[in-house]
Amino acid sequence: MSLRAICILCSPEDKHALWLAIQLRAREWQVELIQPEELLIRSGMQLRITSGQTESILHLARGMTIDNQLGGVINRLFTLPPLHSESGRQADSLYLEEEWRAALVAWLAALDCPVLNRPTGVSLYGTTMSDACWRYLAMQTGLAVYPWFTSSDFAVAEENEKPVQVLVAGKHVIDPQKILSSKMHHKIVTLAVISQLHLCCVEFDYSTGSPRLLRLDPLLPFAAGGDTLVTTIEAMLTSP
Amino acid sequence: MNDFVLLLGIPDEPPLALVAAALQRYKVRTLIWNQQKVSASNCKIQINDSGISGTLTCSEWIVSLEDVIGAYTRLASWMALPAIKKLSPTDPQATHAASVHIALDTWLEITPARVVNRTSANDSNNSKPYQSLMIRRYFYIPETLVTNQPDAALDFCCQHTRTIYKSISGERSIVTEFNIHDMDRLHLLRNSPIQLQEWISGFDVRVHVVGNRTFATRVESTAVDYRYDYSNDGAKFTPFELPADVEEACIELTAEMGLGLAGLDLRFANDGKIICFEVNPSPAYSVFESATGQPISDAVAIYLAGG
Repeated sequence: MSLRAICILCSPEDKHALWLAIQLRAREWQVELIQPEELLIRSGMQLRITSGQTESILHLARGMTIDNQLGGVINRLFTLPPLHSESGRQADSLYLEEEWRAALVAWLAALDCPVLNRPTGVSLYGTTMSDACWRYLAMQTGLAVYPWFTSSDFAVAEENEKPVQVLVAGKHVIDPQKILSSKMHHKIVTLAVISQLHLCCVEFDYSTGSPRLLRLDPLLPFAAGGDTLVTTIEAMLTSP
Repeated sequence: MNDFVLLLGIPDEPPLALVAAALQRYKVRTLIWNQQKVSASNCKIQINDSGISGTLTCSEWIVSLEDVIGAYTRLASWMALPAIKKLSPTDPQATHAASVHIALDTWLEITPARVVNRTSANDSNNSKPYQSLMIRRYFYIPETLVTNQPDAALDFCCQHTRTIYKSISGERSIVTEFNIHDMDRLHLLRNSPIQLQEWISGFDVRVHVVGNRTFATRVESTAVDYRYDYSNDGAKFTPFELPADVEEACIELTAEMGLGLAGLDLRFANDGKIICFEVNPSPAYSVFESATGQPISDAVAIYLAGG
């Protein structure tokens, strides 16, 4: 594979990934869409880690090989398909899934090329947190949030309106509706950086006229960011 | 109660009980929330412009969580609690247990109090090779292969005089030496990958790091994994003095992982290298304290109290 060759790891229903693949191919990128099943079924993984070196090779059943020559990965691998152990015991099947998840986390973390987003020890597709934690972290960066309560009877206005979405790619904020200030953009980038997310979608409630953060999702609806987002992602894939 | 340390778990579990006793010796106000009494407990959290606040209630007391200065969590999986395990997941008692634990997890993750340890800091332990990528910035690591290819696994074993294998995730983590009988099972790798590592000859040292203090214990055992040494004598533990640079590396690695307490498994190799196999974010240090008299629980108590 060449440096202009990238993989998008995504589920077969991921229309956002398909949209991005079409856009990047139109810009002369070689893009392979890889489904979670392909990583697990009849694949061949070798990840070698030493004190000073990492080598990784992943052969897919369709004949494709992913190695350190890869130009980049767009990682939208939020779940793995359920696996069934030969013993038929549920505990063994869950263990099998855990082992595969842990192996793929290490494989993604060890790749030399840009991986958007890098996994964490527990999450294949990057930092994930509860809404409460996102909101608390957002508050630390100076973003306004709605109060959060554990009690489920706390009815909030936030869900009554369609949230405003802004997309973060590296240090760029794409604000399709152009309603947030540049100061807000800066705070959003700070939030993404401390969350170690290169790509994310941040949702705000704007029903009261002042934006309040609702949640953050590492999976972007790429089309909402249009050409600007594609250009930014290209730059992130080619930057050292 | 103002400015107190909160202990979460099962009160007679040794690591928790030792810290509770140490806190009592130091006269630090302490509350223990008994996880087994979850059905009679409640936890309410709120986040607003002034930060995070909340209450924890059980049959004997109610406290404001803003008053907690330090928290030590040894919470087991709530689904494994005897009173909950037998229930259907939709049983009101089970959903109540879930909500209390979710609230506590949320609080532990966010509270400005010292927490040993936050769930997010434990993340790297869920993928051992992922954790190795962090460890190797500070220590040598053993040559490792993660593979689901029988031929690659066999090649790796042939390249090394002795090879061990262990799980990749944090589940069922038992170290086993690869032997000739395992050859017949290599085909099973096609279903699930495995982690193989070169065997390193030398002696083991378990280092418990608490904040910026270390307690090193030399472990002598004939077993491949000393935790499962069933020989007559069992594993022998003796206090060990770490070289200053190794001590510093242990403290820095633990801090980088966001851990207040960690158990690092080192091997002092015969060739002079110091290898780190893994960092345990929830070490059952009590076994080492009992065997050596090292005051690890005292250090945890002091750390929780802000020292």
